Amino acid sequence: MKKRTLAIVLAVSMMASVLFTGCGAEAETGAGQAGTDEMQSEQGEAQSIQSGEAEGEGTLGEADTETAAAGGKADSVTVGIMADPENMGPWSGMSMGRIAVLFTTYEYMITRENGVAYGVLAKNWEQSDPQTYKVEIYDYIHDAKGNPLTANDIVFSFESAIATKNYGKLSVIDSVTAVDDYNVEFKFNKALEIGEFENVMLECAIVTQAAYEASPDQMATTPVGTSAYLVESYVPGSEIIMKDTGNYWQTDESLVHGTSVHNVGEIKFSVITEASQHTVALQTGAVDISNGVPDTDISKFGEGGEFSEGNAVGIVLDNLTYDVEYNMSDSSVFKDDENLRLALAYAIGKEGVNVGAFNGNGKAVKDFANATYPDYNPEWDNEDYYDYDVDKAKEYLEQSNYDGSTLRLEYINSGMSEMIAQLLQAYWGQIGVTVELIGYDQMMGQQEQYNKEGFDILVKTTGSTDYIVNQWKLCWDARDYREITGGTANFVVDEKLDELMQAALSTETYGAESIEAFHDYLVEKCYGYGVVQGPVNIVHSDKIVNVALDIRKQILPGACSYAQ
Amino acid sequence: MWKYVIKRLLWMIPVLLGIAIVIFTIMYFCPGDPAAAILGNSATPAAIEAKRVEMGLDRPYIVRLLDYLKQVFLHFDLGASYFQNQSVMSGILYRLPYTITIAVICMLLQILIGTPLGITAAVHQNGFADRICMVIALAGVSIPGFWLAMMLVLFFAVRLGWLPPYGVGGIQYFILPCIANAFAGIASQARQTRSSMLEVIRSDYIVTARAKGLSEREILYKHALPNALIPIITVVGNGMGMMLGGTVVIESVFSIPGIGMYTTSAINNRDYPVVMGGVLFLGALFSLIMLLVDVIYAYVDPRIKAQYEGQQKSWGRRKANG
Repeated sequence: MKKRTLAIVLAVSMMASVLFTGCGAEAETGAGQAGTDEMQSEQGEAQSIQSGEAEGEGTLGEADTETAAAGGKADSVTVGIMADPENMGPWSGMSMGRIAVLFTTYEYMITRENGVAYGVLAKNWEQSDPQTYKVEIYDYIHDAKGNPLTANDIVFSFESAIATKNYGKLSVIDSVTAVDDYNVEFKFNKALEIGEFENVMLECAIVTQAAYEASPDQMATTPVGTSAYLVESYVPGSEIIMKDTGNYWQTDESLVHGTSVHNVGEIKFSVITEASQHTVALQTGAVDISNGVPDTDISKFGEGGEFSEGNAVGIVLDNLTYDVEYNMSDSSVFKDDENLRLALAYAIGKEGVNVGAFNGNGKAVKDFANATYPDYNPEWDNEDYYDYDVDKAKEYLEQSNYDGSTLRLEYINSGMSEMIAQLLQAYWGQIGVTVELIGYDQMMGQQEQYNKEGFDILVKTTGSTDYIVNQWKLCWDARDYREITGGTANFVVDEKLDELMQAALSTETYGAESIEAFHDYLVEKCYGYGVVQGPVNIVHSDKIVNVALDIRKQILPGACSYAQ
Repeated sequence: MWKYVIKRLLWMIPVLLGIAIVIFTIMYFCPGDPAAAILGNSATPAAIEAKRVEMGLDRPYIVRLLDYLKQVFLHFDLGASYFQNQSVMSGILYRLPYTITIAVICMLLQILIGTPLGITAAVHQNGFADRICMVIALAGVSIPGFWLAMMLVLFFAVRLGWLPPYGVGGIQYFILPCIANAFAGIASQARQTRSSMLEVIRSDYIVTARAKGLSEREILYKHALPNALIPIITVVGNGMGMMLGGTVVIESVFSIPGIGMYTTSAINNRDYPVVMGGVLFLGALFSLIMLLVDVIYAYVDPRIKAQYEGQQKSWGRRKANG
């Protein structure tokens, strides 16, 4: 009797496991088969996005928004986003959830496409003196509720944003004054550096004072911008539905740029916090487009993949670069040991990291930053940038003072940083350098990167939305970090580096020469270097013909073009 | 009985005070900076420091702790979220229905499925039904909730297309999360019920009942089950508490904007007021549920009621005697 019972139980268990694994097994097989073909499809799709983007300057990644002028319109679209905006107010700082909806909700003074700034609310602007700019706005702007927008509203918006202290880039503003109804004067507390004015104009969402004061919760749940869309409903943590008001202020189509295009009547942002659920949502048609699908699932949607029918994959290179920064503080082993720095640099197979971490969809980089920027020098692609050479790495290691001690590699344990840290650990292990991994969550990592006793090597992602020099600035501009680190972000104290950085940033000396000088000096000193540029994976249904992205590589559903 | 309840409610004050101090201290010493979270990755240290000062995060530990305790216990204000421009209490109350819905449905499933499974197993001890029930129970306690959740999604949402894979809306959105969340509870309930029932079934009064010629049904439901209820109610009470605080994984997998997701998102962002308010609120709720469990004990078992009343009387006598 016992044996029979056991047999029945086992049979039931087997049937259940076959039933369940059946779903998974099919998915696995499909994914495996999809592999090669799907990559071609992804490349093709990426090229279609890239070619659309590259029309302006011909360089990958320069076009951050692809206006879909030639595309069709749609009644509705559902976008899967990874996090809830939590607060849709205009000046509530930055978060993953907010950046996904900001450009659909609000407009800014300007926008940037293909590395070029275009006015949105600003009709034109001029520099009066090194620290003063005058901006003229259109005289027929109104917000989504019909409130007219004047220079006083611009002043109100900037002053409110500055008061929150949520936007460091606005700290250069000394005053904002309305000259008349449609002219605003910005006075800055220093001579602005390259890209700084544009960044200030792109940092502050503009609203009318009337709408803001009428909002019961400072627009946290009921934002009213000047964009074509108005929030119809918001279920915190779940979904946001925005509708085209049909009353967008800019009636001259030739002046409507990427972030303001409104090709779809209703946009539903669906908050899906679990990455694998983005895959399911696309499979079931619950969402039309998402950039949250895990790398491991991308192949299922490409050509030959089990969910390729009715879906497409677009891959664009992110503006973020995964960098290695050495701890250059006085007590660090790297401080006076250039050979050790070079040994580790030459030991990394950057293409291998790209394949290991991103299935080859990223790109090995040839500078601390990546090739996305308009001021990137394409000649660097042909130069030696610590190109993978184990023998050379071993030679440098022999000449170094490395004593075999374990080095600590710090990284943020989210996204692909952990995988990249593991790959670096393996590469450095090849030349006999032992590395211990120390992973922190985002918040701890932000704090621990300035603890000079806490790590020897740091893997970090940095990226700018404008120029290469502003990505360099995020690590190498000692003026921003001196109070905490005594030098650059990774404790480098080097006057020549500081001079070169400032020369590259100054509007007077900015140019190919100063950029080249900084790049060469950094390569020579090897205080830190770029490793790989990651991809942004976008999966969408065939309802969407062309995908539009904003400067942070977030989907702009209003600006996508749709199948007729 | 009422005096007992009031006494227990008063005891909740020092308990909540203790929770507030502990959670505040943990968050204070927890590395990470909400100012940095608000400003984003590219913020300079100077900008972060200015924001810290503006948010009052630069003040000493004791000053901030006393301010927080005063705000919570004197003004009954849990503070406002750093990110949401909304009071923590309204954030919690907005999300509570989602969490409560999941917890209550799970609890009902646990009671309605787990208890009969346990009774069946006990009545047929070592028999076929017992083994089947215990295999289900073993599977329930062994299978991780997130794995089961994904399997259910793959089968019922992707393959069959019967149910939505995530989100909130009608009752259909709660079916998969509740099954995934309740499975472990059903298993625990079945195991506890079986164990309690087996203990009671072997008691002398059950033998006496059988000797009196009562039907098995009558013995089971009239004599055995009521006496086995105390440990079962304890499991139900604990389970309810666990489900209120422990729906984090299920809420994340199914993108349900409940308290679990609210609190975990706040932990990631170092949104101190939300974390502290959420923990305090759940602490209060859990204390109330435990009180309710104790009160139910009294109604289920007259001996316990008499014990409570006895305590009150002896307490009253000691007070009268000075």
